Amino acid sequence: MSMSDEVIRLEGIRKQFGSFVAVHEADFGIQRGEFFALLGPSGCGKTTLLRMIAGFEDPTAGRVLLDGQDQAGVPPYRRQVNTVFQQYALFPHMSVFDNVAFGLRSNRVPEAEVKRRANEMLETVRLSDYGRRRPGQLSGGQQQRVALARALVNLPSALLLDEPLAALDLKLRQAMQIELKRIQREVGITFVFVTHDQEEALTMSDRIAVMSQGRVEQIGSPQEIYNAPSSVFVAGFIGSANLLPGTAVAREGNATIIELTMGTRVRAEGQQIEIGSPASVMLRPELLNPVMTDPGSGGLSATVTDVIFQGADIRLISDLADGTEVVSTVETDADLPMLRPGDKIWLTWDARSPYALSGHPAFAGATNTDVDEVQAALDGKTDLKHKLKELDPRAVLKGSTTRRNLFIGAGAAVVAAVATGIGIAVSGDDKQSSNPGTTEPTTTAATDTTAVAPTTSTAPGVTAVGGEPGSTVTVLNWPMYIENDDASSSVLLKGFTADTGVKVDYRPEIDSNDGFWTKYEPYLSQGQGIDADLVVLTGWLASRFIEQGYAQRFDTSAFPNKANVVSARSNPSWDPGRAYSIPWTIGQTGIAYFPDKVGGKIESISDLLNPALKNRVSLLDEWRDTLGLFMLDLGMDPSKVNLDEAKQAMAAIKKARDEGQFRKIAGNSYLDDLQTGEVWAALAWSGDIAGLKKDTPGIEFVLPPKGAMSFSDNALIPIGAKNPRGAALLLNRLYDPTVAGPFYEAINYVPSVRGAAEYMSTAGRANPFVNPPAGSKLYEFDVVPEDIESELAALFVEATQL
Amino acid sequence: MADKAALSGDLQPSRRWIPWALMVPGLVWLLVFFVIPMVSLGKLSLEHGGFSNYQHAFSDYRELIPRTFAYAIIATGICIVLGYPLAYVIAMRGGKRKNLLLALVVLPFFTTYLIRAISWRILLGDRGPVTRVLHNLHLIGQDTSIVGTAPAVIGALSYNFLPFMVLPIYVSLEKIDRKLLEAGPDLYASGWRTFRKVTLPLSLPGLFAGSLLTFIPASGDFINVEFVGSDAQRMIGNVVANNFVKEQFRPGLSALSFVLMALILIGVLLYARLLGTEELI
Repeated sequence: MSMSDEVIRLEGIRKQFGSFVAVHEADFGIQRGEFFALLGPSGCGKTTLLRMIAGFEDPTAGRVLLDGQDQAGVPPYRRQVNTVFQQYALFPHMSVFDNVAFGLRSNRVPEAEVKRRANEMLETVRLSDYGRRRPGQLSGGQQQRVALARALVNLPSALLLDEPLAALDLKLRQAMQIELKRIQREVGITFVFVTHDQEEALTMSDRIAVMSQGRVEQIGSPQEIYNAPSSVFVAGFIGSANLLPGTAVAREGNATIIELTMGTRVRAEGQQIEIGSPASVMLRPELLNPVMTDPGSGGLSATVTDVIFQGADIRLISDLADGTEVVSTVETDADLPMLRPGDKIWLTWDARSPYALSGHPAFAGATNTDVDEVQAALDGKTDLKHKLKELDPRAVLKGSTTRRNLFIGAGAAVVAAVATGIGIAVSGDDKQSSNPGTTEPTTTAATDTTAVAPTTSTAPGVTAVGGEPGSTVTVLNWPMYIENDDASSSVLLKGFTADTGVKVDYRPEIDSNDGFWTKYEPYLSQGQGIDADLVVLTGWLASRFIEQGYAQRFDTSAFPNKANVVSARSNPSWDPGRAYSIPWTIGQTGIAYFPDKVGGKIESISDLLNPALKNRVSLLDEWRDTLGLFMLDLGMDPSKVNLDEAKQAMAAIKKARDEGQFRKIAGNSYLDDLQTGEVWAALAWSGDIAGLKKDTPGIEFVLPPKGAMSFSDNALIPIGAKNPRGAALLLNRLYDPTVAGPFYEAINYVPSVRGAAEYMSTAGRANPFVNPPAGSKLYEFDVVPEDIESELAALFVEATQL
Repeated sequence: MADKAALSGDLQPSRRWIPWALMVPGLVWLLVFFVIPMVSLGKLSLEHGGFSNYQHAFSDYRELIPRTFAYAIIATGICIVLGYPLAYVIAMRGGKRKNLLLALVVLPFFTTYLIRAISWRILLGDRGPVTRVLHNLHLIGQDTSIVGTAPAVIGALSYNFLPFMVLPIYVSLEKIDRKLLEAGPDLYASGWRTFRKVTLPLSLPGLFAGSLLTFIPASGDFINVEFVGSDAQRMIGNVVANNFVKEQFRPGLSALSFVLMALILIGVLLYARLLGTEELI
C-alpha cells in the first residue's frame, strides 16, 4: 500500500510524564480500512499512544498525522477520530438515541439527517428498539454496541477502541469479537484497537503492534508475530511458548545451533544470532510431540507433572531434566497411551519447528499467557507498576477516595448539625424542653386565679426554717441591677451573710419578661417551684404573677423596712399594701441621642420623626414603652388607656415606620446600635444610658417635657421558694435607707426607699438618673384587661411588622 | 446501578426484620423530635381563631413574606454564581490541593454562626474597614452606612451558606466519570458544549441539593438581619424569633411558620421541575 493510504502516521512519538517515559519511540503508520491492534501488558504505553492519537495527550516529541495532517495543537473535538472508551463512557443522562446523535449534533448536522443516520447506525448494531432507553437500562454488551454506534455514526477517519471488551464476560467477549469484525467490515472504517489480550488481538486484527515498556517491539500480521516473534518478550507474550535459554554455538545455513543450558544442542531457524551470544529456542506447545521411547538424538527427556483434558486436545505439562517446565498439546485422539503424572516421556519436534531468538527469557520454559504473570516476569516491573499507579489519574483518585470521603462526610455532618441546630433553635422554646433544673413539687397545686398564696408555702413553720444560719437565698434578676453584677462587692450584699447568716446566690440572668414567663410559667402553673427565692419582674408581669397566685406574701417579721417604701409606690391597684411585691428599681423610658449627630436638641417624639433623622432612629420592642411615649406626645394619658386613643398612637407609629423613619425596633440590642453610631436617636431606658455615658461621649438622655414613661421592676417571692424568709431579709436590707442611698447612686436608678437620698453624695443627689429633675412628668403604663392587652399587642405587631 | 428491589428482598425470610429494625431508631427519633412537635405546632396554629390565623399570617406580614423569599432566592443565586465555579475548579483542577481547598471552604464553619455574623457587622459597620474605604474613595456618602441595607443582609446570607452550596456541587462534580468529559470533545463538542450538555446536567443533583441547603435555611434565617440589617430588612425568621416568647402570638406565629414551610415546599418543587430533577424527590 502507498503512503497516501495511511490514515494515521506516528513520527518519532515520545511521551514523558515527569521523569517517567511512557512511550519511548513510536514510528509507524496505520492503513485505511485496517483493523489494527496495539497489544501489550498494562503499563506498556499502548493507551497513552491511543490518547495521543485522539488528542487527549500531547506527545513530548514527534508528530501525529491524521490523513496526512499534523495534529499538533488540534484539540480533540477538531480531530476526525472517535473513541470507544473502556467502560464505554456513555452519557447516563441521555437516551441511547441522544448518545448516538451527540457527535452529529455537535457538528450541527441537520436534525433530519441526525435522525436518519443515528437510526441507521442503531440498526447496524442491532439496537433499533432501544433508542429511547437510558444506557443504565441496557446490558453490558448492549452498552458496548451503543458506544460503537455513538462513535461510528460520525464516520471518523479512524475509530479508536480502548480495551472495549475488557468489561464483558468471556462468552459475551467472544461474541462481541465477531460482532466487531462484522461491523468493521460493514462500515469499512479503520479500527485502532488497544488490548492486553493477545488472543483477542490474534483473532481480530489485520496487523498487531506489540508493545512493552513504552517500546513497540514488533509490528506485523498475527501469523508473522506468532510464528516469527522479534524477541523473547513477543514470543512469550503471544500465544504460549516454551522458551529454552542457551548460547549460539554455530551457524548452519539459515539456522543457528544453540546449546541449551542443560547441554542439549538444538538446530533452530529464525533470527540470525552472533556466535557466542545468549540465545533462546522457542518451541510452540502444538509443535512438540511427546513420545514414549528415546528417539536417540533431537529430543528432550521429561517427566509428566500434569495432564489437562481440554476437549479437542490435551495439555501436557512436564519437567525437563533440569526442572524446566514445558507445555505441549496433543490431539485427544493422538496415538498415545494414557499418561499419568510421573510417567517418563521424550519430547521431539520437526526440524523446522524450533525458532531461534536472541537473548534469554526471564523464566526458562513454558510462558504463561496470564498477563499479570508475564508482567511479573519483566525486569524492574514492580517499580514500573508503582510508577504507573502514581501516574494514572484514576489510580490517584482511588487513592485519595477514602480521605476525601471522610472529609465530605465531615462536611455533611456540619451541614446536618447546622440544619438541626436551626430546628432546635425553633423548638427550644417548646414548653417541655426548658427545665430549669431539679424542681420539687409542692403539695398543693396553686392554680387558683385568686390572689391567695398557697397556704403550705406561707405556713409559719416553713418561714421559720428559712433564714437560719447557713441557708441560701437564690435571686433571679436583670443584669446591672447590682453594681457591675458583682455580688462580692455590692453595697447591698456585702456583709449581708455576716449579719444574717444567709448566703446569696445572685444570678443576673433575666433578659426579658416574656421569656421569663414562657420559661417558668409551666412549672408555676403546676404548683411547682422554680428554684428561686426572689425574682424581679416588670410591673405588668408582677401583677400577673400575683393575680395567678404565683407569688408569696412577704414575711413581714423579716421585712420591717417595707414601711420605708415611698408613698407613691406603696399601694398599686394590683398589689394593695405591697403584700406580695416591692420595687427593686424604678427607671424612666425617654430619648437618648447624640446632639452632634442630630444637629441640635431633641425634646419630643415629634423631634424624632424629623425626616432628617430618617433611618437613624430606633424604637423599643416593649410596646408599652413605645406606645406610651407616642401617646404622651399626642397628649394622651398612658396610665389610663383608652383603646381609641391607643389606636391613634399606633397609627402614628405605623405611618412613621412605613416611611422608613426607624432603623430598628429592638430590645436590649438598641444599645449596640447607639454605641456603633448607626442609630442617632433612640427610645431608651434610663439606667442603660447612665451606664453607656461612661464610655460613649456625647450621648444625652432626655425625658420629654410632655411626659415620659416610668417603669418599675418588682421583687417577688415565687411559690415553692425554699427560703422565703431569707428573701425577705434581703429585701429588708435593700429598704434600709443607709444601704439604699449608696446602692441606688451606684446603679443609677431611682430609689423607692424613703430617706435614701440622705445617704447619697451630693453628686448622687444631682444625678438625673437617680433623682429625675423636679417637674418631670412620669407615667406608668396602665394595667389593662387581658383582651385589651392582646389587642394592643396585635396592633403593635401590625404597626411594626415585628 | 443501585438495586431497586424491595428493601429486604434478598434476605432469607427469617432475617427480613433486620432492615426494619435498623430503621427504628431513626424513625423514632423523627417521630419524637419532628412529627410530634409538628403536630402540636399545627394544633397551636389553629388555636384562637382557627384558619383566620393563616389569613392573618399572610395579611399581617405581606411585606415580610415576599422580602424573605426575595432575599433567600438572591442569596441562593449568588451562592450558585460564586460556588459553582469554586466547586468546579476544586473538583476538576484541585489536584493534590483538593483537600486543602475544601478545608478552606469549610474553615469558616469552625467558628460559630454568631461569630461569623458579628464579624460581618464589624466589617460593614459605620466605623468598619469596608465602609471607611468606600467613604474615603467617595463611592458612598459620609452619612451612608452599609449595615442596614438589603445588599448587606443578602451578602451575609450568601457568605454564611456558601459552603452548603459548594460541598454538594463539589461531590456531584467529583462523581462524574472523567471519561465522560473526554467523550464530549471526542464527539466534536467544544469545551463549552461539553460543559452545557454533560458536566452541568450531571452536576444538577448537587446544584439542586446545594440550592436547598442554601435556600431553606436562608428563608428561615434571622441572625444576619439582626446583625447587619435594620427594620427595613426584617425577615420572617425575625418575627418568629422575636415573638415566640410572647404567648399570645404563638398561634399566629405557628401559622406563619406553616405558611413559610408551605411556600418553601412549593418553591422547591417548582425548582426541581425547572432543573428536571423531579426524580430526586
